[in-house]
Amino acid sequence: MALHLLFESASGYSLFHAYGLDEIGQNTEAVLDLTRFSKVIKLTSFHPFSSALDALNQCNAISEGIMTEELRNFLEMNLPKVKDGKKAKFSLGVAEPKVGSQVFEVTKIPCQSNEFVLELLRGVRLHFDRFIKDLKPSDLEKAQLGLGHSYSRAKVKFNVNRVDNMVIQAIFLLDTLDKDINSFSMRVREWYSWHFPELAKIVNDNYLYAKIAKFAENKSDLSENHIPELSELVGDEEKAKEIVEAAKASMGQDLSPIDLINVQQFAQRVINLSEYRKKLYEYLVTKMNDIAPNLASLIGEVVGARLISHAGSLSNLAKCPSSTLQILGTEKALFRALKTQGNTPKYGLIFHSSFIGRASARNKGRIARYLANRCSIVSRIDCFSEGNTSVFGQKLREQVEERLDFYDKGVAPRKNVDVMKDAIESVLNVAEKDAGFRTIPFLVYTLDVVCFRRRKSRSWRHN
Amino acid sequence: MFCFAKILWDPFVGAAAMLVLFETPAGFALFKVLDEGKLDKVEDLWKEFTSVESARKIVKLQAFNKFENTSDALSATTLLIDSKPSKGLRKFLRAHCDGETLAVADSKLGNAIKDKLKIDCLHNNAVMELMRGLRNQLTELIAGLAVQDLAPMSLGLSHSLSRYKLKFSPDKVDTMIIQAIGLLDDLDKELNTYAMRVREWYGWHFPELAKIVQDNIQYAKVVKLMGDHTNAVSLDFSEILSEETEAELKEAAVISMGTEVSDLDLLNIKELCDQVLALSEYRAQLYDYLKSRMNTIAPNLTALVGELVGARLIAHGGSLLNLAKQPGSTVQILGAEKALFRALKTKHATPKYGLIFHASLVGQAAPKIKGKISRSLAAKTALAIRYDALGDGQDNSMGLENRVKLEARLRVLEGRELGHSAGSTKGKPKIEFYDKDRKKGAGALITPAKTYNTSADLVLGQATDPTTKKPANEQEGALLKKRKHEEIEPTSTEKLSNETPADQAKDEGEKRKKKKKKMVEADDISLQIASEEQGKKKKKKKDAKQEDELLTPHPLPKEEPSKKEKKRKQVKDEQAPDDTAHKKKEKKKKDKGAH
Repeated sequence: MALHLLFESASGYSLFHAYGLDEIGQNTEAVLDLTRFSKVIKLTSFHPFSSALDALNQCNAISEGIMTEELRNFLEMNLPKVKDGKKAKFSLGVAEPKVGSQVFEVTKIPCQSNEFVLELLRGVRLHFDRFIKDLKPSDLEKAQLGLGHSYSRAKVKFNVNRVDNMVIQAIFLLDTLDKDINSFSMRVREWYSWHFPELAKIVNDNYLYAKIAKFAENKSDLSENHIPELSELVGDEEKAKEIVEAAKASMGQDLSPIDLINVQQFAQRVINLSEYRKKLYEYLVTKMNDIAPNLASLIGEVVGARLISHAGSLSNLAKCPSSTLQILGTEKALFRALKTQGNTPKYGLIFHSSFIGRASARNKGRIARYLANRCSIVSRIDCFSEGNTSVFGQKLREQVEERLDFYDKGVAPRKNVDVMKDAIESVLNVAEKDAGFRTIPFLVYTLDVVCFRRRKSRSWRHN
Repeated sequence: MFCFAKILWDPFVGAAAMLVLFETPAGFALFKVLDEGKLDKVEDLWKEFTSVESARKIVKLQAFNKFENTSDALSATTLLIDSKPSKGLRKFLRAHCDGETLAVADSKLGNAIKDKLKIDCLHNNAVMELMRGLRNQLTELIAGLAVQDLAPMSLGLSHSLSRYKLKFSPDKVDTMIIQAIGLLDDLDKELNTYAMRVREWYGWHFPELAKIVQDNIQYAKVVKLMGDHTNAVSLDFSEILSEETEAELKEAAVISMGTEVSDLDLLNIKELCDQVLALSEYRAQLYDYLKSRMNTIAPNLTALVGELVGARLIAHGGSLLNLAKQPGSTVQILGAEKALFRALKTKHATPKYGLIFHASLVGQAAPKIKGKISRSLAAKTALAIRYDALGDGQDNSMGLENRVKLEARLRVLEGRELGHSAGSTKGKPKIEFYDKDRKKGAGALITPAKTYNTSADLVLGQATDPTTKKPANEQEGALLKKRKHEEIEPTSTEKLSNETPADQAKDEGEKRKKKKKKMVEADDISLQIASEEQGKKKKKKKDAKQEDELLTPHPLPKEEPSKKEKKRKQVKDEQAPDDTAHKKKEKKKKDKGAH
């Protein structure tokens, strides 16, 4: 009885014919030796996948034990027909018994899947690139890698809108952009001041300066007629008049037209860059609200993004204890302090949140500790909850505000349990409206953790 | 500031009609003198102007003619300096003083007015005194002309006047070049940063692309065109990429292992690509601008060393004029100050070239004659700079001429090299013959085994640039290396003079070994090596001296050291306390560090 083998590779289906089984018999050692193995196994046909997407579909189907249309066509085309009522003179060896039974049900091709077949398939897998002449080993590897990645991505329910890498990239880019725009604006100032030095003192804002430099061009052309347009740019008629007046009595020297053109172009570049920066900032805000809505509403988008980028990812941030989060960004100072046994720093990146600036000097450390504590809770909620809500962030923000008040005026803050109950209630309200919300178990857990831990620590203190 | 005044004095009409014309940076002012009796006492006139109230009793503003803008003021003032009334002044006088007489501070101007306007003029001591008083109370007497208005006007006028007087041409502004070259460097750096960011960002989606498309600009273009990598198959990249890379790209796009990204992310990545492309376009424009500017401001310098090097030289010197004051030797090592001063401090060989290294003439030269060529080039460059800065010529003929000369010299030097390697031109085998480390071959190819002195590296303002650590691709890496490439001449002239060829060869061999050692060993022991070297050098010198004595028929008596040696000793003595002082300083520093 002839044995055919179905082998599913990353680049396509292939069918082998094992005809000289007697020669190696059940001796599976021969599998490793290509010269002997190739004598008994021969490639009969090969059906490549049309694209990476097709490959992924086929791979998914096989892993679930389903025979696809392509596979059926392939098998029926390349295997001898099985007549009704008669027993087939061959069998098909498959690796996956589920697929085998499916194949048998649909096409009546008898399948077998046992250790021996698996062993043969192992050999096929080992020598696969030798059997198919046109296939380069590197191609196969690439196909495997690509398929592997896309398969695993499909399996882990990957959400494209929650890639924190994008936030990390955006915050990095935002920092570089800030730096560059600043240095470029200073250059515009320096450059145009050669022609019109008085303008630098009248207009302080960099972006506005570039705009005016672009608009004004040659200062001697500036006259009263331009005041309406100028005041539209500046947003203040007095200033526009001041500019025109200054242009008349300017001590700057004349520039040749080519210089002026170049200054205009450069100013335009700076304007474009600043506009791009604005867009990028908006992008960052929307991304942060997708990825970490609670963190964003607690501490602000930019500081939140910085925290994520510093930790490496949102899940890394969620793994940090709040003490680590508190001094994230001041590693240098921390380790120096540890080395010299001095005082460790009180705050790192979270210093840029407005809370710490609002606290008095004595309470800065305390509020930083408290804020870091809330941040770490919130980052965990963001990282592991499936719903998209910023209620917790808002509630915790209120708590921090209350704590500030407490330090400042002595107003007692609400109890933590009450706040959390509040938060959960409002989330549940939303959840009732939105049937797809699946965070309720998690919420209960959160409530447990937040409240119980407080209670425990309190009782510990009493003891 | 130029202030002129005329007093209109009419002896026939009586004492009342007297006008004073006062010239301010803001415009012409006409004052009427109210109390002429005060003018008789010239010595006491100043007292009347000590306070505003008393001054108002004497003079009163009759009319004021404001200048339109600075250029108007400038033209009026320049005419006044030549004692000619400007058109505006004539109109003004015609309108406000008819039938009255003039008394003038500048008598020539008075005559001119008399001729043209038929107004009688007067000029005497009393007038000058009155003028002083007016100037004192000017801002109070003229309504609507406060001090803060007047100050910038006078400043502006004086600036433009002096520029006018100096025949200042706006085409010759070299600050623009300094700015432009600075900006060009900045742009290069930033462009690289942004391009790397695009790669990193888009690499999340399509990691294979980074390897397929090496060029940053091409990469940005491809990303902008493609968007999602699944679109790649249906797109035509023939405008951006070569056929092979396009095929490779399409193949990779099908089996890419990158993750999916949302449309919003893609949109932002594309926008970043736009920025990169726009920046690179602007960079090209800026480069063109720099070229054209260099050709107008310093044509000869440009002809000799090229636009970029020329611009860098100007930027480094501060201005073209500053650069013109530098001697050729300074121009030669401009940009290698750090290496120079280190070399002077440690008594090593000074660097052979600074910014000038990037000039094509130096690049063409074989390593052995690079120093020579850079010296001659620097000399010619210094001349060209002076010609550009101070000469009247507008073309670059002088620069071109010198360039031809330098090229001829380069060929001559290379030819001589060839002769050396050919062997016994003068019937004497050359050093190279004995030096096994050197390969035999065409003269131009003979190079001493590469000894790369890392300590002499010159980093052109990029030490803190993080991008240098990770060059975008291999090409850029190579470029960076080239930039850093800065060598120090291994042999000093002094040694050459008193060593025999054989000795020299030996010495060179040893040096090579030492250099290798240097490269391998860490910095902290480099000091030791340096001291060792010095010791060895001294020995060598002694040996050489002995040999000299053997060779020279009339050796100098040993007891009497030569003048040179005396000098050296003196220098040593001077340096000894210096060294101790240095050590003390170091100690102090350490103490501080401990605190």
